[in-house]
Amino acid sequence: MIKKSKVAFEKRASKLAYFIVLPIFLYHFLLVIVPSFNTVYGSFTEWSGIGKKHFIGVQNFVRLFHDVEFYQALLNNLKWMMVFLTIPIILGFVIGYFLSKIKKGQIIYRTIYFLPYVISAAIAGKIFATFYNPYFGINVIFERLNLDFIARDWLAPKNALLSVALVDNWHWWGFVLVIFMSGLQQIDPALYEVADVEGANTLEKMRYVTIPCIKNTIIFIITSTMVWSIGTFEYVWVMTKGGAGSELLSTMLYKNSLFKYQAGYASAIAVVQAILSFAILGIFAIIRRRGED
Amino acid sequence: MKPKFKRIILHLFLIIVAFFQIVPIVIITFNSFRTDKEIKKFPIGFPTQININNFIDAWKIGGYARAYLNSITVSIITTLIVLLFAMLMGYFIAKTKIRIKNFLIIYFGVAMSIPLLSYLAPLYYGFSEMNLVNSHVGLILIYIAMNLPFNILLARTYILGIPNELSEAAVIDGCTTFQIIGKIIFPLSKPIATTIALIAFVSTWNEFTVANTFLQDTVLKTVSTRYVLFVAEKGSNLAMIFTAGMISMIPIVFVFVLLQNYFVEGMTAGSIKS
Amino acid sequence: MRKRISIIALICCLLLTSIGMYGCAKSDKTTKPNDTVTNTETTDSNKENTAEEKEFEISVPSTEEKQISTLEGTFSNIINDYNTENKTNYKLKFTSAQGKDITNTRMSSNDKPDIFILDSPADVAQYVKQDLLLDITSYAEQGQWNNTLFDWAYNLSKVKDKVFTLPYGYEGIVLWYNKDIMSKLGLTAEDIDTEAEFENAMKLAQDNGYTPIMLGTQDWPWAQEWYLSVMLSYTGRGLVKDALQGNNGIKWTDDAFNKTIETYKNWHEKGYLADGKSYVLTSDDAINAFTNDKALFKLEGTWATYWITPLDQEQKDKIGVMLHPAINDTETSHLPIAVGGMWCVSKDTEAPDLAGYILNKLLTQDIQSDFLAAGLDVAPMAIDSSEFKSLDPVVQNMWMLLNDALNKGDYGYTTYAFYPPETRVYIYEGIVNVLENNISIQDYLTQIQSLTEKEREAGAIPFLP
Repeated sequence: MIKKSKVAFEKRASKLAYFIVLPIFLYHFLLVIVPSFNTVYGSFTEWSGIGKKHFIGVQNFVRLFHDVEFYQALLNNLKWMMVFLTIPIILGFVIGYFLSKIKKGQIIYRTIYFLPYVISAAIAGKIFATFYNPYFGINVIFERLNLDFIARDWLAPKNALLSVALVDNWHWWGFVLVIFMSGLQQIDPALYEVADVEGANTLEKMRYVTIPCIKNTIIFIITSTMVWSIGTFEYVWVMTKGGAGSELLSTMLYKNSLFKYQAGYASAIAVVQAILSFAILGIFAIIRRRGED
Repeated sequence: MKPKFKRIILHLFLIIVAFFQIVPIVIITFNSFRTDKEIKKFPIGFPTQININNFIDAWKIGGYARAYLNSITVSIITTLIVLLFAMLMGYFIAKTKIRIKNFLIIYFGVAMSIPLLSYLAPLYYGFSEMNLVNSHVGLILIYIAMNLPFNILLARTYILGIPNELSEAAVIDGCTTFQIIGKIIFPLSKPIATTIALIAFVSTWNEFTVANTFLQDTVLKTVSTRYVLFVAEKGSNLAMIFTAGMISMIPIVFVFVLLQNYFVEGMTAGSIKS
Repeated sequence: MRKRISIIALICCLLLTSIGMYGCAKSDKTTKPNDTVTNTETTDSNKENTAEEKEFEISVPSTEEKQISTLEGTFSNIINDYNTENKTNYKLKFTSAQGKDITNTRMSSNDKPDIFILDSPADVAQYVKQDLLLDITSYAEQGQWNNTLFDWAYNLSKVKDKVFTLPYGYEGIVLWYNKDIMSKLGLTAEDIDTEAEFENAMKLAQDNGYTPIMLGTQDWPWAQEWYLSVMLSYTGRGLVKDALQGNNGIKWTDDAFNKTIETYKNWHEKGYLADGKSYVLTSDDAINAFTNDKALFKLEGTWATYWITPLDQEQKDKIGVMLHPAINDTETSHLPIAVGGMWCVSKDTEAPDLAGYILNKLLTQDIQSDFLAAGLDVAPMAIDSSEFKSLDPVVQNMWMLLNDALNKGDYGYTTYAFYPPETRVYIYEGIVNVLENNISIQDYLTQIQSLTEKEREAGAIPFLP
């Protein structure tokens, strides 16, 4: 009897699911994917961004793969990815873990950590530019503290990319924290009690209770981070406009379509970006399937 | 004695991290009260007096009264619809056995990574045919689409973690799908629903490129477009820039603090469950 | 259950249709109140007209309330005059949007403004190539632009002997200096004219603890471009023209240009240019450092009077303005110029005569002096110097300098107005690699040469006066 009602319920639910899921999917598909095909086609044409497109086959891609700038930008994207796979995730996880353990002040801490996320890149860029200023920024403080070796030209060509990444990190990791925390809340406290009874220490509890319980969240964050690192744009554009050795794929795309009247070439960059993201997602899908087997 | 010591160390660590997070915001706040000249002499410092004039000037010059109304309308409508769609999608992808489930997960993962610039211009061509340019409706439609993929996946990941036992019990009691969603899933998903609402609201409020492209009429413009244009125009008056920044930022901070309560509620609900 | 599904589906449908309807209603509403606000004075004259009301859109990248209201008022008056003269019923739709990307997008869609602004001749060249602009030669003849506008500006408005644009503002790159520091160092601006005198002044400033030239390129890589515009133009205006047009076998890789870039690099290494830290400084940092007595010179365009306005009188009094001194023996000091923007008419406009009428009306002294008072750019035509009297003395001096140089024909080429797009971008982006010793000067110039050749083949070289 019980089984029967369950089966019937599931049948009904999945019928209903199509009613809800398909329209939303279609809506998104029409607004984002369909127009994007225009860009995919554009990548096979010579196009200035205005007027007519002339089909030229794969020439844009050939040119792209011979373009030194492209490899430089790609490398920068990968560096960016490495930074964002480490700092925000470790910080977000560790602090999320600690915060979920304390009761007093949890809300205040979380509010403060998350606050930078709501500030737009335009104003955050402005503020950090004053910090990085060689004449009256943080360098002055480091010099006072006799920590001269830390002081440097933060936005000079060798450092610019990392310096900007640090600003984006400041803005970003609070967000990761909040997502981790909502995941951590789902963990049944009883599991920890069992672990306590069995005499597990903090690290063991993390290893055998916390991490397995929020596995999905961790995978989700890592995937999103990687995908976003391929497309990141705002902070670099606000702070350096992709100059001083901080060129990324998106800034390169933007400049090509806007300042150089090379929208066809820019489209090719967009397509390559999308393909890279597909690849990342594909790899994760395979990993997940393996994990489930 | 030992746990107490541990706790102090922990709090010390948390406070240091908090310090790094808060200092830039404090400086923005301070600078919005200082005069342009003071900031230019030394960009980091305490305000010597509470100078409200900055706010009055920036408010007037930037035309913020109208912009506020626009941004609030657009952001709230977008947030509500995104929240509804994302939670429903999240539930159905996570908890039902529809066949296109895996496809949808991959689809939205891919969609998340499509650069805005690749569909912005073609969308404009299309929308201009349908009279949806230079209108808030067109903007909201795009914002919803932009915010869906990540939030759907976020909701799915969370709802996946909700144990099945509860809903199974409800099925035995004869609950319908919507009763289950309304009475069991949503209450248990409050933390993630709050997060989604927050993400949608913040990204809509701060969004610049689409708003600037699709809205040409001055009366329709949103706060973020106003702000970025304001910076371009008043670039050298730092006091104004920080003040305008404050003006653009206050509502989101307010919404965030407001939503904090729901975070808390969500958590207590979670603990009752156990 | 099935009932419930259909109810939900119904609600979804309703929601979507209502959104759609709201959209139509909204787009009607939004244009109407705006128009009634701007055209209140005209309703009387409109009543007599039975002609069908039509919208005429003018799109301008300005954002400041005062400038917007000046422009909106001016255009709406002109359109009203036209309506009464011709018994038509056009209504102004005035929009402002910033950014070339938006113009490009809109001009490729069906939602084209009638009159809009492009940044530079290089943009105009692209638009003409795509056949998006209206040929306005007949209106230009009607308004005798060849007499009203400066010669160079009139020539700039043409592509292959047809007039396509009306330049609406003009600017030059000048050197601002701090009078206090200048006199402390025992120098006078008038005596700094040659390369040797300039180098000497920079060295003197540096020895006395001042930054010789302020330049901030961190958030504004185009500041680099301003300086390179000066350097290249000062190498020889004829050489630049030949190198761009491919005449007389002149190439970017020639010794003259090589020497120029060497000089620039040398200045950078000596710390003359912002202590060698230009890409760590924002454009605001550079302005602040200059106005707070940290630097002797600052290179900036004449468009940038916005940074002078908020200063107090004491600071303003310290600011002087001069032409950049020569950097070699072949070329004297002059003014690299550009236009602030160019009015264009969409080929799809339904009212070409109205567009022509508006553009011609813009070229009257009355309207130009209104523009000047509102802080807008003025058209490249001789302006009665009494109009400048109402301005700040510093700004007034700048306008005099600008007008003077133009009247004497002492102008050169800025990279962003006269170079083709890809060459232009590479010039300011590639220089960072040269300054950082990543590539040699010759490699840099070779790359510029190959880009110019490619773009010349594609017909993307703008007109050079």
